[in-house]
Amino acid sequence: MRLRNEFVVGVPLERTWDTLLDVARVAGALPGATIEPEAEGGAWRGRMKVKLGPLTTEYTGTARVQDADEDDRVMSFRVEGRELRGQGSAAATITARLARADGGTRVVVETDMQIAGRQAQLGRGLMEDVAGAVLGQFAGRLERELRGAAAPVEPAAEAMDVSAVARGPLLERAGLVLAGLLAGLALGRVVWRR
Amino acid sequence: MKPPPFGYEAPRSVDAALALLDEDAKVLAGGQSLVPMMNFRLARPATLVDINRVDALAYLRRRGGVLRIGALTRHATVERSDVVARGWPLLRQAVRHVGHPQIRTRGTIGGSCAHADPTAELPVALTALDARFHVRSSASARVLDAAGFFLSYLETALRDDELLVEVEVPALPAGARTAFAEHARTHGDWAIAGAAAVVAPEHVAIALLGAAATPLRAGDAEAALLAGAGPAEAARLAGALVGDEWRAALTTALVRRALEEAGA
Amino acid sequence: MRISVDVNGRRYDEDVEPRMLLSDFLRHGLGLTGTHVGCEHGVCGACTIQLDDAPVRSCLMFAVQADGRSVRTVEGMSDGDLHPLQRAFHEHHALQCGFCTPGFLMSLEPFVRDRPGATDEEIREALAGNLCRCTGYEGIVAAVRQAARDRS
Repeated sequence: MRLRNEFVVGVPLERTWDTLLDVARVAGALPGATIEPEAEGGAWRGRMKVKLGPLTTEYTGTARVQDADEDDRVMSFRVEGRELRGQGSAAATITARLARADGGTRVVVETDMQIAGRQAQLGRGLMEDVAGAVLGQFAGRLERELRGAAAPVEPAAEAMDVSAVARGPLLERAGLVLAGLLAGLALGRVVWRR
Repeated sequence: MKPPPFGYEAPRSVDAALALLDEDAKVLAGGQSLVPMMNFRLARPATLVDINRVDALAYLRRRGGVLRIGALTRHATVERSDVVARGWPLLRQAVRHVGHPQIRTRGTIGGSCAHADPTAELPVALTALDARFHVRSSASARVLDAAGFFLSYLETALRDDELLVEVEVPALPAGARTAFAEHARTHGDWAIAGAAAVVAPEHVAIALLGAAATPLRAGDAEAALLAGAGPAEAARLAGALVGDEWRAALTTALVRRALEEAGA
Repeated sequence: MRISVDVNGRRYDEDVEPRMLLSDFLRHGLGLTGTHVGCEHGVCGACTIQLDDAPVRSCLMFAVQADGRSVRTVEGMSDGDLHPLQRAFHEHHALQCGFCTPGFLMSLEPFVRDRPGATDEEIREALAGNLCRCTGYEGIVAAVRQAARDRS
C-alpha cells in the first residue's frame, strides 16, 4: 500500500536534510518511542507504543537509512517490525524528498508499506487520516526542534495517542500501520538518549 | 562440521578494526562466503574481526553524480534502493542473482568484492561499471581500479592489514542501457558463466563472469561494437577469450543475450 | 563470551564460545530445536531464522554476532493459534517429514507480506533458497498463494 503525505518546515533545506539524517534531533519529535542507543551496522532497533482509545499496542522493529541521494535531496528509510505480542508484522520503505519552499523546506513523504496479520484489514481511508494526523504532529515537533525553540520539546508522551483520529473496531488495526509510518518517518537513524 | 576455535573481536569503528588486522586475522562481514569455508575448516583464521558493528561502513549515497557504497552495505539494500535502480540499474540486475534472499539479507558488497570469487555477480558488474575500490590500513589509504583490485581466484590486492571500505561507482554515460545474464544449474547456485553489459552511444563495457580467475573485460568485443559490429559478432569475440570450448560457447550465448537486452 | 539475545520475545543471557554457530546455540544452548540443521553451508535453508525480522541462515552466523539483537524462530510464529502461513501449510499438505518446514516458514513469512500478488513463477523463485526432499514443492506454492489471500 502506498501513502503520500507532505509537510513544510520553516527551516532551510540543508539543515532539514542534515537533521533528518541526524539521529538525536529527530528522536525528540517521536512520542511513544524508545530506541536502543546503539545501532548495528547502521540499523537502529526500537519499540513503539501506540495508544488507540483504551488499547495500547507495542511494536518492536528496526529502522535504517536505506540510501541518500545528496544531489537530488532524496533519502529513503527501511523499517521492519512486528507486534511484540501477536502475529502481525509490517515493513515499509519511506522516501522523503526535500525541496526549497519560501525560505523553508517542503518534505514529500512517500510510504510503501506491507502489512500482514489480523491488522491487515485496515481500510486505506483510515490509514490516510491517521497518517495525516501523525505527520502533522511530527512536523510540528520537528520544526520546533529545528528552530531550537525556547520551550524545550516536552518529554515524549507514554504512548502515541491517536484515538482522536481512529474510530471504533478499527482502533487496533490502525496501530500497526501507524507504527510503521511513525517509525519510518522519524526513526531513520534515530537514537533516543545517549 | 564445526569451525575450530578462534579469537573474536567486534570493533565499532574503522580505526579500531584496522588496528586488529594482521596476517592471522580475517575480516567477517556478511559471512555468507567465509562461514561455510570455516564450517568446512577450509579457512581457519586465528582471529575473526567482525565488522558488522562498524556503522560508519554502512551507507549508500549518491554525491556529485557518483555512487558511494560503504563496504558493509547489504545486497538486499542495493536490491531495494531506488537510487541504485535509477542511476546504476546494472547493480540491481546483477544483485538479484546473488544467492537467495536469505543470503542477500546478510551478504555485503564489500565482502563479495574482498572474497573475489570469479563467479560472483557483483565484482563482474562493478568491473563493467569501472568501479574504484577504496582500501585503508592504519597507515595509508589507496584507491584501485577493478583490474588492480581483483588479482586472481579468491585473491585481491588487499594486504593483511588492509580493509576495503568503499566501492565508488561513476555515473553511467547518458543514454546507457545495461543488462546482466548468467547461467547456473539451479536458481541461486554458483553461476557457471555470465556477462554484464553497458551499452551507450559512445561507450560499451562487457565484463565476463567465470571466464578467468577474475572478472574479465572483453576489450575486443567492446571495440567491435563501438565500430559498428552487431551483438552476435561482439559476443563471438568475447567468447574467444574463454579457453574451454563448452564454456566459450556458453559465454558467447550469454554475452549476446546481455547485449541484445541492453539494446546493442 | 557472555551474550544477551532476545529470542521470540524472551531474553537469554548465556556463555558461548565464539565458534558456536547460531543454529547450534538455538538448538543446544536454548533447547529450541525447531530450527533444523541440514547442510551447514548455507544452501539448504533448513536453518533459516529471522534476525531483526529478516530471514537469515543461522548456520552462517555465530551466536556471538546475535548479542544484543532480536531473533525469531519457528517457535515464535504461533501465539497459541497457528499463524496463517502455518495454517495454509497444513491445509495444502505443504509438509511431509517436516524437516525443511521451519526454514520455509521463516523465509516465506516476509515474502507473503511483501509480495501478496506474486505470480507462481515469482513464488517459485522465492522458494529457491529452501530445499524440500518430500513434497515436490506444489503444496508449498499452493500454501503461499493461500496465505497471500488470507493476509488481507
